[in-house]
Amino acid sequence: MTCREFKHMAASFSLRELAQQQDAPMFDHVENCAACEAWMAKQQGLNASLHTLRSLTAGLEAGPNVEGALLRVFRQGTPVANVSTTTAKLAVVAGTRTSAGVTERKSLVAPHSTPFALRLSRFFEVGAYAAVAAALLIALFLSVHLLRRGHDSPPIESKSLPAANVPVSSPAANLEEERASAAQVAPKRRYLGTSRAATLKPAHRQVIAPLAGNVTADEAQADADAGYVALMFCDPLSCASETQVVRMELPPSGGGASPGGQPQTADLVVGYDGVVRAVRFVN
Amino acid sequence: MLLTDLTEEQLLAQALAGDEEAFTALYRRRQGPIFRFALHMSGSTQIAEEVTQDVFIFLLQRGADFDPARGALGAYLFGVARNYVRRALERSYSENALSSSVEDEAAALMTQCDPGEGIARHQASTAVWKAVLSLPEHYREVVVLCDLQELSYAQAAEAMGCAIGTIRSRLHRAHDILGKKLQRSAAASPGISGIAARCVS
Repeated sequence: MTCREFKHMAASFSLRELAQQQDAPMFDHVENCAACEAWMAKQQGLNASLHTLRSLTAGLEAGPNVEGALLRVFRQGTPVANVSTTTAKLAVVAGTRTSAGVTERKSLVAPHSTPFALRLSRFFEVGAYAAVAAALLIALFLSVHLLRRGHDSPPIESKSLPAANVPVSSPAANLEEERASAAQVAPKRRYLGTSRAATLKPAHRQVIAPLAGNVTADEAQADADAGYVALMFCDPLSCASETQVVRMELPPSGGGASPGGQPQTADLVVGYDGVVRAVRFVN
Repeated sequence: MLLTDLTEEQLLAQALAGDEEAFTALYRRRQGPIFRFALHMSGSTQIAEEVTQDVFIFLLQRGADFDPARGALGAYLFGVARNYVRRALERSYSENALSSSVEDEAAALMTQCDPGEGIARHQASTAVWKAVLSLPEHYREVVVLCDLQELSYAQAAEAMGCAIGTIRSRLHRAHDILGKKLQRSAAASPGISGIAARCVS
């Protein structure tokens, strides 16, 4: 027998399921294998210990007072006399008994008094359950809330592409179209629980805050139809939101540089999302 | 027909019909294993007596619910005892009543041994019992039922309301844990394992 085979049979040996002929090879094997011998010795020690305990306790029985108390319960159902300090807690009341037998037996075991520590631990247990339930509810609420937010946030990416050719530089021409598109979107947004649509404004009414190029709102309005070139990703809806005009100098190496190597000045219409909507070269 | 010839189920039926002798006979036939089961599980005579009494009171109250088709009365009573032991242990743990009871029980056991081997058996049985009592409850139950009460796996499975395979695997695992615990205690106090072997011989 190999050690592998020994281990395979070890569980059955431990559970004493092997017949004598079956475990004989195991005993043969342990004579040549120290590791398996140690395991076998441990098992035999355990079995011997359990046998000792079993034989020592084999004759133990409940005291005669238990039988006496039970018989009293059986006979008349008067409260049981004290059996021991622990069983003194028991108060058993039996029902009536007729000659035909026990017609009604109403035994009541008095509830064991629960120690304060146990009651306290149960209180904390209930509290822990409540806390977990509350945490789950909050998590559920937050996740629903976040999901709604995700739905409400404006789609920035490719939705703007179809209307990219609408120039911002001529808002008067596109005003009706913008209003119409805003009116189309507004109900949907209201349905989604936001009032963002109500803030949509035509491009030419935007508050233009000069940043780098000192361009005032009046100047921007005056320049409204003065040669802005709409960029590809500018759709009427996103261009209708708040924008800023930024004047900046393009480096000579850039595409907008003048042929003489001089830097070129340009006004950029920048949306709230940082994306440039339109551009106009100043000179 | 003598009461000794009756089966436990017949004794129960007669006891429920009001036959005190039948009840006494049933009690005397069954109280020992129930008491020892509770004793091995709890390590306390007080708890064991309390559980024994509770089990038979339960039998008087709800004995009519017992269905012989579902298993033997012995396994049924072990199942009831198991629940009462659990309840009693919960109470005892909170009252710290169990801390020194094992030593007391072992001391009581020692008096039953031969004077020459009394101390040796006391040490061995105390070590084993401590190891058994320190097992998790579901492992302890199978060790007590199968190893100490010598129930078959089928009977133990009936009492515990689980599959035989569960009993086997739990028992195997429990033996592993017990072996390690005994090895540790033997290393701490050499001689115990040898004593156990001597007790058996």
